[in-house]
Amino acid sequence: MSAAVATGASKMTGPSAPKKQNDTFNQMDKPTQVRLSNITAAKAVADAIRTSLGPRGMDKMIETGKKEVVISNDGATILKHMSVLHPAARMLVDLSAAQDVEAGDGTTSVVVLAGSLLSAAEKLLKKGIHPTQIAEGFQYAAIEAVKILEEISTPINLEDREFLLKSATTSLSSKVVSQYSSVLAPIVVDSVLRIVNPSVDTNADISDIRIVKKVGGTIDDTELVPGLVLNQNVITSAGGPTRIEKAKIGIIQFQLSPPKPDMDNQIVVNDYRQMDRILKEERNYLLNLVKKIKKAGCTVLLIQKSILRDAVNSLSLHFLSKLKIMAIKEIERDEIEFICKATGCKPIADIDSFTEDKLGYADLVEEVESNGSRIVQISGIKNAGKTASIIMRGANQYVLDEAERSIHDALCVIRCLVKKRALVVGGGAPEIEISQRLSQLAKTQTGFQSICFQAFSEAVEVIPTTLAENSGLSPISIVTELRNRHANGEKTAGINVRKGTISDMLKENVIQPLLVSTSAIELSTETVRMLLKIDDILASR
Amino acid sequence: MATQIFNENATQERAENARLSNIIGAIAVGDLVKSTLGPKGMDKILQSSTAHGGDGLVVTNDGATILKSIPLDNAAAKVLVNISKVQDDEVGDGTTSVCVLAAEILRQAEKLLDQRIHPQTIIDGFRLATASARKALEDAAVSHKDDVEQWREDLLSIARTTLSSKVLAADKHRFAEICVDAVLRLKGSTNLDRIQIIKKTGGKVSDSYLSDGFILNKKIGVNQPRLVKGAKILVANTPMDTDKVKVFGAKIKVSDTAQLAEIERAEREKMRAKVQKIAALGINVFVNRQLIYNWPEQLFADAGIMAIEHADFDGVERLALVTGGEIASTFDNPELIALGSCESVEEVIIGEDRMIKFNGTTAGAACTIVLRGGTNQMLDEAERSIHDAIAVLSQTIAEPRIVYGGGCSEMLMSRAVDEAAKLVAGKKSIAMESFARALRQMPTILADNAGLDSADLVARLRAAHYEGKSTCGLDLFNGDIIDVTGKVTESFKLKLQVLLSASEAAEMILRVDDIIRCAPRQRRN
Repeated sequence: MSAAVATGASKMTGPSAPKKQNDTFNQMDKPTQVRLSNITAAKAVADAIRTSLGPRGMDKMIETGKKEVVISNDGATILKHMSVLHPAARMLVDLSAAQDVEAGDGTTSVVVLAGSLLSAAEKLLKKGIHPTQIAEGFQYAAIEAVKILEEISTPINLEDREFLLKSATTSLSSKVVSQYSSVLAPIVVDSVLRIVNPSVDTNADISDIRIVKKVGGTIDDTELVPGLVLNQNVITSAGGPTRIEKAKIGIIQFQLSPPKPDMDNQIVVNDYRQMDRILKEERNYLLNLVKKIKKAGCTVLLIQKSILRDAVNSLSLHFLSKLKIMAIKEIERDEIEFICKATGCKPIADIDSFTEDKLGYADLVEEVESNGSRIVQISGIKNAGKTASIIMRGANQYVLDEAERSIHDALCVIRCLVKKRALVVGGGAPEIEISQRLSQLAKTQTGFQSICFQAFSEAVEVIPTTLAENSGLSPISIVTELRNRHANGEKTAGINVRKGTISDMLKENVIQPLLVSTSAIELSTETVRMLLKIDDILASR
Repeated sequence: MATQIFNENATQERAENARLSNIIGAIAVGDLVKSTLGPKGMDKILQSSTAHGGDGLVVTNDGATILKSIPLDNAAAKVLVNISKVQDDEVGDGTTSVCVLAAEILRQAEKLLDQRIHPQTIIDGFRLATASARKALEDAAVSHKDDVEQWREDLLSIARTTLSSKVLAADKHRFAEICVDAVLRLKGSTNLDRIQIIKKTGGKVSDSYLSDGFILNKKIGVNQPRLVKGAKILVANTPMDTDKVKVFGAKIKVSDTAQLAEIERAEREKMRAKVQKIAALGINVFVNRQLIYNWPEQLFADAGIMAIEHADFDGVERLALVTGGEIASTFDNPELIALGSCESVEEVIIGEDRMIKFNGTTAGAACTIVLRGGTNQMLDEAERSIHDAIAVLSQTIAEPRIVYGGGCSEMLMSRAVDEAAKLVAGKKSIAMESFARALRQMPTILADNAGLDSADLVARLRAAHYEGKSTCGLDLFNGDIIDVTGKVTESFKLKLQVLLSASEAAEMILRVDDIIRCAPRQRRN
């Protein structure tokens, strides 16, 4: 009798899966097994990055498949590089990525929280509560938690730079670059403020902030540059200028090299004189192009990269340098829009449309050298758009990469404040507050919901507990003291990681955007609910 | 000695064996998807054995998706997969129910076969049963199409019922509104292409919204207007570089660089001519399926035309549909080109990405559901759920009758079949009683999935129906029997299709008495 219905399906359930095929469908304990296996896998992921939470969190070193080394403290980055196989664990990786997109920070907390919620769910499952009821209970608890967060948050004004600085500092303090937070925080805040209009905008496009990384120097040397910074270097092989005052900038999307139509072509040379003529014509052709550029008054030329043709050749460079035009090549096509926005110029795709009105104006375009690397700075731009450029420096590539991720997180924190203008304190204080209020709410309810609320309220305490653990404090004494303080009405009491005590987080200036906390709770609950509803893993084709 | 008729390696199963193997296969499939049924149903993870990337992972509650994805090696099981696919195409939802019902009917048939009742007799009985069940269902169906408010309430209720068994259950009220609004915009059309679903990770599920107009996930060219009002749109699929000579090895031979420069100039002139032809149509928005290169992009910018390049196939076709235009690829005969139009085209930010939104489209029917959610799996599943809901709703608009869910309709049909069986003489009536029992399995499974005492609940439900309370159904949240009028509503067409497909499939499987399996083609190496 052949009833091999789901070939291979039974393999997915782990070592204890029954071998007889028809049994697969009749076993009632299989859904429980699948659920527990999912929870275990997801918790393993959460445990793996748990130690990087908070200002005293540790970093992870990851060797990727390509033998590259990544050192990071950022949850989203660590998870992205971990090659996770188990489907449930992969969902947590996605969760962290989603938090990265939504809030940009709190990518570790969201996973740790999800892990803790899953442990709580596991206990409830063992009590025999139906998984959908747990999922529902958690959903309501999350809604209440967000309400509580909104209640204890303080609305802010974007003009209040102090508050913005403090929240950027909090985000930076848990990163590699924490000791430089006094340098980086103002840069982050100013660059976001530069691209938004505080009274109107409700969102900030971080892609309008450009980060240029250069190895050499220390992170101290990182600066926010007025105007625009280019990664590309000035071409100096033909002795062209590297500093132009009162520059007129043009971006061209055509090339200064001998003509090359799209069709295959061949120049047939019959005799010696023709060779001379060809060389002369090529020279004339290029000279003509460069002259037209000069005629329009352009003094700085940015040339888009082309895969088909050389952007410039030595002859055209020679002409350019003779006419005192600074040339920069290899501008990527996707950079064009940013540069246009920053400099107020328009891209030019054909020599005939090279007119003065398409050029941008800047007081100074200069190639500067510092700490062993060269960059092009464009400053004093007239009609500049809302963009910002940050030059980052660091001792080596790893430090730079991690610093960039930290800056990105901090930028996102400020963006969150632009989106939702409210703050909560950090240091585990809001979590304790949620925990206490939910546990009070649980007492007013009956049935499974009450149990779920209680479990949820205990689960959120994982954040202060982990913070304390990672700082080498005793989690039990710290968390219980925190509870005590909050019960006495000190809503802003949190863990002072540096001193190892409990203190008022508002006075310690540990604050973070409301959106980071609410989004962490909402997203992690959503993922946990989804995981709970799964009762089978099947192999598909 | 038996003569060998078949090829070597071919296998044959006969009579009882064949029937049993089929029935067991079908029941196994039914049991596989059974646990996803109802508001307390569970999800499954489908993990692809080949791809280990993010795409290989699917979390779903949708019967059709589950069955489609798992590899099966049983003829009867494949029949069930097929009916679930057909259900998906016809009605869009009820894909699990149809499989489970067919499996339950077969489970009952197996018992009858054990009692030595001939399959044909069973089939006759099943047919009579289907007919009386159908009649009962038709009698119970009501339509409120004339009463506008009640009608909308019905649609909302149908949407809620469909969504309550899916991942969106927690936000079902919100999504029911979204789906009903989207479907009502179609004004009776069942062409769901006009409803576009855009998925963006980030945010939470309840941040999703219905946006009127059409959203294209593309960028506007550099220096072009970011907002166009009173847009005239040309949707095209045309190369915007030079029209190349497509003969292989075509080559230009010149004798000096000046000629080469001339040819290059000529190529550019051709591009300019093409752009001018397009601009001469009087458009202000140009959407191309293919790339628009720098030079034409600048020309468009100079002409004040918003040019959007590299729109995907799907996007282009939908855009043409919703704006009332046609996809053009040559521009020599302007009179043959149908331009699309809409009130305005603007750039919007969704999540972290910039997209292009077409407001107030001519067809009026177009709308976009923007889904947000934590993970890709969540979004994919949400999309499937929304698709199911809008499919059912659009079918309901075409066939406005509704019936009640929560096991109510099944119990109703089961009662009708039972009563009809009493009037039938012969063994057929035993088969009819079995059919009624199979129908009663549906509420049983619903209750089982919710972790309730199914035996007690279903018995109480049956008693209620025999007392004449024909609108009673299960309340799976409180584990009680309630009057489900206006609470759990389902489309009549869906229920009917489930009944008919399931009994047809069961009949087909019962009729089989021989399975011949051909030897697979030998592969070398």
